[in-house]
Amino acid sequence: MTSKRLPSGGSVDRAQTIRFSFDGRTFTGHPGDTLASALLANGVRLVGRSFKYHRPRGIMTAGSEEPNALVELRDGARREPNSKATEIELHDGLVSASQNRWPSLAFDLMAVNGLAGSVFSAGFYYKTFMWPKSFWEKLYEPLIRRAAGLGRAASQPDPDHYEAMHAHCDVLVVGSGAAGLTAARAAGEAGARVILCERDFLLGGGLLLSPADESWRKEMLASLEKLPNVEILTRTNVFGYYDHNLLGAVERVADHKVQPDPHEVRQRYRTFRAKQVVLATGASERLIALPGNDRPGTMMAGAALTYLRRFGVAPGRNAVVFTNNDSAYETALALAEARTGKVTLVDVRAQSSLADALTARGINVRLGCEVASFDGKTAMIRRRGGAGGEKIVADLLSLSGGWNPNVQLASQSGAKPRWDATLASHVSGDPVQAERSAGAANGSFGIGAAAQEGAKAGRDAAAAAGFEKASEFALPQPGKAEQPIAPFWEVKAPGKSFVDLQHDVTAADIRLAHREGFSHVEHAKRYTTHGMATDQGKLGSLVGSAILAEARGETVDAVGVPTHRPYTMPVAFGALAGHASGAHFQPVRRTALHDWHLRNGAAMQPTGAWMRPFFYPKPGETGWDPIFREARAVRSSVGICDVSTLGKIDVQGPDAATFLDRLYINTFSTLAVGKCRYGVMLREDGIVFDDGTTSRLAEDHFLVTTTTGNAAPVLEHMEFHAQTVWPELDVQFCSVTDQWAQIAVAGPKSRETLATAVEGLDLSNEAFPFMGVGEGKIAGVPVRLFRISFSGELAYEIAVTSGQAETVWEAILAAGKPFGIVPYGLEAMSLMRVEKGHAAGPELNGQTTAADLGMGRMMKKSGDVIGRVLAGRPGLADPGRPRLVGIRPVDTSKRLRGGAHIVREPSSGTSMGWVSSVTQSIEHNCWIGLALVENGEVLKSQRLFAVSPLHDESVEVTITSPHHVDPENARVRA
Amino acid sequence: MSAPDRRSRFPISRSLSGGRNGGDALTITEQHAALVQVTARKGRQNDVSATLGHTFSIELPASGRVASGSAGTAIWVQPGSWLIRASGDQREDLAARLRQALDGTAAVVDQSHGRSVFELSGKHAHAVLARLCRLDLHDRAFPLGSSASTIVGHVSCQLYRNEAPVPSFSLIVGSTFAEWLLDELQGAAASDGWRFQPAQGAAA
Amino acid sequence: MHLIPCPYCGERPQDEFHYRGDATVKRPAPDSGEQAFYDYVYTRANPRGWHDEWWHHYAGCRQWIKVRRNTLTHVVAASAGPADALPEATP
Repeated sequence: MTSKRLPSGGSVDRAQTIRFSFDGRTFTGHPGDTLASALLANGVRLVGRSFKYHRPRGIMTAGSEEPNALVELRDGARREPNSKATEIELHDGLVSASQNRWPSLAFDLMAVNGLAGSVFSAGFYYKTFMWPKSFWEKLYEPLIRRAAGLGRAASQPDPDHYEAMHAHCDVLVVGSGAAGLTAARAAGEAGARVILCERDFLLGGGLLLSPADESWRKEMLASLEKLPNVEILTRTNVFGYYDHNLLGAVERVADHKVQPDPHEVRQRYRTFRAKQVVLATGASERLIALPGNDRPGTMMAGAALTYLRRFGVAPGRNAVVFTNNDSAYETALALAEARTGKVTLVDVRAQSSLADALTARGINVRLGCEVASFDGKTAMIRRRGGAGGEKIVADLLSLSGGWNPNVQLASQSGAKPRWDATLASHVSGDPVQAERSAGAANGSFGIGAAAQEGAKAGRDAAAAAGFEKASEFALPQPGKAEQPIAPFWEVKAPGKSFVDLQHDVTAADIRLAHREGFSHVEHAKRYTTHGMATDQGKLGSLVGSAILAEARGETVDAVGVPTHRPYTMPVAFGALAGHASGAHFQPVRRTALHDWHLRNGAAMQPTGAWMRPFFYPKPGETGWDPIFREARAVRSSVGICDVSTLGKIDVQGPDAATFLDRLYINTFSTLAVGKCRYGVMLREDGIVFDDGTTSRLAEDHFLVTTTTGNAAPVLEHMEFHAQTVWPELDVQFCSVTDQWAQIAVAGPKSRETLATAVEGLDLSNEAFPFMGVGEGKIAGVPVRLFRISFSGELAYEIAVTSGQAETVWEAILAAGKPFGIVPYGLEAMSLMRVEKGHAAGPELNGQTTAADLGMGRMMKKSGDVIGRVLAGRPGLADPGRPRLVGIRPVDTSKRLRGGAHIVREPSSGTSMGWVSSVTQSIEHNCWIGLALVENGEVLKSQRLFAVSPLHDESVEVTITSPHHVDPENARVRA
Repeated sequence: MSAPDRRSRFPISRSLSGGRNGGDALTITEQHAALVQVTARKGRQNDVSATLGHTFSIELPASGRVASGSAGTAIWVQPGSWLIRASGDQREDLAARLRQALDGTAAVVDQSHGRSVFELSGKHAHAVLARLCRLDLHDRAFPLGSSASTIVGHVSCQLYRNEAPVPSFSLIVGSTFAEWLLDELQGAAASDGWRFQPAQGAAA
Repeated sequence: MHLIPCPYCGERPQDEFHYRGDATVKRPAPDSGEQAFYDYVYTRANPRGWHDEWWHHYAGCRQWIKVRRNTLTHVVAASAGPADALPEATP
């Protein structure tokens, strides 16, 4: 393989050589190369196989619009599929492989798909889906999976790190060509905070192809670097333009290294909130549909110029340049300058004032002609629309069908693209958000025009953001006016003419879509998958629209192009997730006793945002052992539990009691100071929202507790009603969940335990009865005590400021030692609450009323209560609704399942309700449960069945009171 | 007799450092502070303001602002409501003193244990916060005296600028989120480096 | 990520807020009957265009603010405190 590197020229550092591999072979290149330019320099022509037909493909472009040269980058856990060789910055040790070929790139068995092309024609997915399901699963899917598919993702976890970063600026400039550089400088010199983003690793865009402007580019960069208010981000691709001038981007921080440096991220997801945006995103060249326009050796004219000028690489030996506009003449000249072989320029236009200059350089110019086909070795050239033609030896077919301003971001911002007949393309429409386009992105081609327009856009954007300081700097001269483009989309000749190379969509597929009724551009896109690949239709979207327009007998303008949506290029999930993966996925809350739990062997479990002890296993304990041990200790003696996660809301004000009366279905204005009361609150639709105990600390001061999960929603609910519904009420709220740790001490020995620990409070039943609230000290620490119980035993809860929680917890443990006090976790607590029949999360499920839970009589007789009116609707007041009951298996060896249906007979298809919570009971030595069963009240002591089709189980159960232990509630009052 | 008050939320007693270059770029300091939320009763905002002014020499700032005086700092948190921050040795009695002075004009709620306070100082403070917070904290947009309730590291925080020779911010977060937030701060600072100083020792 | 102009805190990103919906419905008097409450809870105009909405600045000043937002364009024209009125009309 001979080197295609030209003896001189380009922005690569020829003094240094770096080694890389492709498909296991080692090659060399230079710093400044892309993987694509280095492969071309090494004479690698075949880089991939196409998606459906497995046709051999070569490098087509020099940028993000590349449809063919998709490679797997790196290996092992860092393997990344579908990377564009044209965008990969070459580095020493880079490992890459072609993809979508089997068994090898050169010999691909699946190329036979090309012969069976009709199977894979437009809409084949939809047509195939209509065939029998068994065929699909057994035959077609495995076939298509092997046949069609891009690269392989890594199967191991990604070892690299990612992060997000949010920036703000007065003016965001996207693109660093002539327009972008002048916009950034003008805005920066006006005093605005400017951020300039460039996708490439070099700044300059089209300037990098113009040696004559190199000194001006350097001077611009030097002046930008002097501005402290201008931040320049290279390797940063802006992929989306969202509402309220928010733009998203990915910065490829370490993709040009084998692996990131220590503590360096691989990619950084960036957001920009900009007061003004200048879109200097350039233009993309579009292809011309003709038979063989996908053969290796086909390359866009601008890309060929890029390889010649920027990388000093000859993209071919004998070249045919096929164009309908002036821009490709530069490519023909550059090819001739490189002196690698014969150059022919084919222009569909009958006349061209530039022809003589080319002829003088030895270029064969054919006006009024077209390329009828290309096979990788020869191109067939004929008169426009003629037959036959002349075969010309060519290993490079360079195409230019004109240039599309890159309006994707402007279009995403809401500016509807406008058709420009002079350019035969869309330009960005009237701005909807604070943005403006400049340079080629705005249809102003040529360095001089772009620079001028960019400078004005930068000045205007800065002025709109409030920065008006004037500045002047030299701009390149505007170039000569170009000859008009001749809109030209397709050469009609036999063979496959591609409009989307990555998804193998041909001109014939577009016409088929139209014939089958998918004539709207959005329908045709989805039916053919045209423009849905990773290149997002940059090369051929408009060509497809033109072919559709011809089929419909309408103008391209009338057909339009599919809506541009984010993302403009593929973005890795890892980059979007940033730091928020694994243990950083969501916030974790730790109670003040967290470290004690860890030191004492707790099995911690995330419950919502909180980490809570599930149980405290002892050596040798397995399964339910620790749960039974902890629950038995509470039922027989005393246990201690961290209940700090309960929501706590401080409610104060002269109208606090009135407010709580409206919030809860029961009354709090009658609650005595120093007492607490259980309360239930409804949503306005009459369904139970939350429950908990509320204490009255002073006449105008209450402490509300909520369930752990509802702490935030309840506070929002309270604030909504206080601020918007009853703004006349004088009431203040403040969450104190984090201020107070809360410790439950439960069991028949809890009073004796606390009696030795608590100073300053008489704990006798008479002085401190059930539902009492008092204050005292434990280990010298002021604490608040509540005589409340969740377990069903005699119990207390102790609130202590979180900084002293461990001191108090340890003091209680010491006081309970004579009684064998044990710490108990969430599982034992849950076991005991099911035994006691307390409704919790599974019962407060957003479907149950207070009456359903057996608390209908708590509703006070009169007064405004949130949810009262709608709770009275016939559907919610129906006595036949599922009611909370207990269930126990008739055969006590049987296991119960949460979620099982309650039915009259195992064979019955009619569910009477469901099992909401189950546990193994230490009181009954069998499984017990809570269930919501239609007419549950009247079914007590009847036998029904709990069926779980999922487990293929049917268990005969007796309906009982939900209170499996102490239904008289004597223990808590003992 | 006063009980031992666990000053720090963290089970460590000495400073730690990590990330690429250790602690020169960013110092995270846990602060031992007294914090009390004062919410005026309806229509009593002027009374509250006057009382705090003459009794505590604390000037109540307007929305989005923080004001520091000799006795402490007042941070606006919501309409009619301020967080009063004073030195940690006032934890035991600040709430009681305020409650007595403001009797009947405001709800006074001690949050000394309900919030953790971090100070972020160093030349990379802005860059670290830009990874965790969506607000514009540039000197032009968030000068000294600015304060914001916002999201930092996915959790609600009170954030304000400190007067210091290097960029410096105070960050007040629910104390049950303190370990999470510290972890997020350290993660965001890893590419430059950080040092963490926990609040020192137990009070006498 | 929209910017919501909080009347107390200034423009803030949308993720500091919880959305509740229609701010034009008013809770009926307690004795207004089932239909009135039904309409309050469920009946919504779902307009295409300007819409007055409740947004709770939960991560900021904890106020339930009123926001006039265009459901078609996401343009926000005005905002007001919980007990304050939005301007009469938006062109």
